Amino acid sequence: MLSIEDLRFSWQPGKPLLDLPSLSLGAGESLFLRGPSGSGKSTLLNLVGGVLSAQSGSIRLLGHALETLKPRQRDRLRADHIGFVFQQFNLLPYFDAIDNVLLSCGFSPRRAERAGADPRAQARMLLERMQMDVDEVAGRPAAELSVGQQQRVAAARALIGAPELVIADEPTSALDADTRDDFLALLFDECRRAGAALLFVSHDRSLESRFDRSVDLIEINRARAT
Amino acid sequence: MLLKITRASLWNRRFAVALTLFTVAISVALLLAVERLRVETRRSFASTISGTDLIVGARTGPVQLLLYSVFRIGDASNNIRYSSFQELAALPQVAWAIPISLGDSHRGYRVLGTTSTYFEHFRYADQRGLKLARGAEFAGIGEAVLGAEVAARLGYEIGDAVVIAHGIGNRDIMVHDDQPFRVVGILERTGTPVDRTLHVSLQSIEAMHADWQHGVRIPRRPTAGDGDASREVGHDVHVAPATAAAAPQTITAVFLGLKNRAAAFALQRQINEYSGEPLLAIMPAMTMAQLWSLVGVAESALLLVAWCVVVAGLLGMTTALVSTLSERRREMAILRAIGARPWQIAALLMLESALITLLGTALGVSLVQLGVLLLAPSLSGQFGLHLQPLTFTLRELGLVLAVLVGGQIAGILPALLAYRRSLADGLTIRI
Repeated sequence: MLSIEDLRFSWQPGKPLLDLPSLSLGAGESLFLRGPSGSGKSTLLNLVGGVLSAQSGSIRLLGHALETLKPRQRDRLRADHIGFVFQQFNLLPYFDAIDNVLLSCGFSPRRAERAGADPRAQARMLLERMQMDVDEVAGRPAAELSVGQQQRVAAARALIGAPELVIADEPTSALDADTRDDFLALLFDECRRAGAALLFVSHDRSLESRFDRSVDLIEINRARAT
Repeated sequence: MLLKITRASLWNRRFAVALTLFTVAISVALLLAVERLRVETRRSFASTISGTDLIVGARTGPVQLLLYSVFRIGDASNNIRYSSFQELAALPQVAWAIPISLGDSHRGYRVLGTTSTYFEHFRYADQRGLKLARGAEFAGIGEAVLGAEVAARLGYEIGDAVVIAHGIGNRDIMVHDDQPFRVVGILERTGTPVDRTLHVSLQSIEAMHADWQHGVRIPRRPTAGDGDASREVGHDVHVAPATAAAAPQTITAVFLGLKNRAAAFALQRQINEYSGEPLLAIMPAMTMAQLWSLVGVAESALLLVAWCVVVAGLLGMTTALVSTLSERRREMAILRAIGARPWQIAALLMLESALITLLGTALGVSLVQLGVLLLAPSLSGQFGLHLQPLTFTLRELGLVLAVLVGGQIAGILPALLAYRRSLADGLTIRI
């Protein structure tokens, strides 16, 4: 579903940041990508999301070679097939939880269609599965929610319309241990239910064992090794 | 979706947005108010006199003749002979002729000597004639008809006595207090200089000046038993009383109405070449246009200043939007991650400026309408400016559209910045 080959990227010529011989992710698979900050993982996510393009090499997502697509097509691919959850501040602070979830459908007709006849009902259902009290948070701006609640709303937004890939970038590092475990369990359940592959980026090795596979970015990145 | 985001985002920052909105509203209100006053001033100016085809006075500048004969501004350098007036009135092309005599005043208001033809033929605005609000026209010597403002400001009523001063100005040093006038009529408001004028008969003016030479009173030497009826005026010139007063020597100007307006050019030429004495004939409409081209500069300057205020208001909006961009980088990154294209981020900013300009303009228009509604009565009373409340002219619509376009142009810079930043930031912002 996602395969990376001979990917090279540098911000400045002569100072390569990423040089990945190969990295792949199967449909529905969960991959733990370990890497400390500064290891180039944010850059890698921007490359996979199609916001940046590499100097050489190839990223194939669902059969599309990103390097051959125009920016417009990459934006469309991202909107239709990838759900993102970041470390913090995932939500538009002035929208309530439901409207934040529905944002994904607003920018992708495909995901709006896959969310069913009533995307709003779908959003409520996802939030409930994420153990949110929907009636309590409805109509309240997202800025008023706790960090744990915000991350669950972000997960629901990443999952609505069943994208093939969910990319989570340190989604638990702002949470305490209990909340973190609850959140991870819910995220796994829902990715499985939606049939989405999960690319999980973190420096926290204690989470590693829950994933199908684990890769250390520093080990596979030749740019760092040399 | 974009509109929904814009609305929620603006509402989230409603306090700052409201300030920006008021800035735009006030600048738009100012622009429309200046435009309103400009149009109305021009209309009011143009409606000072109508129906008069030619104004004739002593030879001077056309604008000067118009100023003193119609606007009561400045003084005539010379008078014209009464006999010239009689000749003009008798011309076959002339339908009517109004003699006017200026030079005296009452507490700063000009006194105009004329005949009943003035009330009959003088027209202002859209061929409107003078109407008496109270009382009657003057019939004899010592009777005065007041303009509406004179009566209102000085509190005169029918039957009050009015003392007229020689010359112009508030300081009534040389007063014709031997000849007090009685108010017999008060005119309806016209919004023209007529409101600020006291009207008396030519004979009254003549009688008043009978004892005066060169602006100085000549002591009266009583002659045998005649009393008031017989006077000796300096230099042993005898003037027959009453009847003599009925035939004035000089007047200041003449308003002419022609039977056929097309004859105006030819008659103007004929009068200007009159051999009896140096005369000047002007066509009021043409000289008014000439005068307005002088006054109009101030008017254009005012409008220019109003536009500058609008530009300042819109620049204020640009500044406000640009200053929000850094704190909204996260918002932009979230939208990018969800799949928003960079142009959609830019469109958000354009929508914001459009909404602020639209609401601000709507508020500004409402402010002007409300202001006119509240101020129209007092403006009409004090300045003769008749502003129409709850109207919207095509020209004003044009101004409003221009402001809306300007608002959109003002939104280009923040939109462009947001576009470039969202491309540079990508999905994750390093702060």
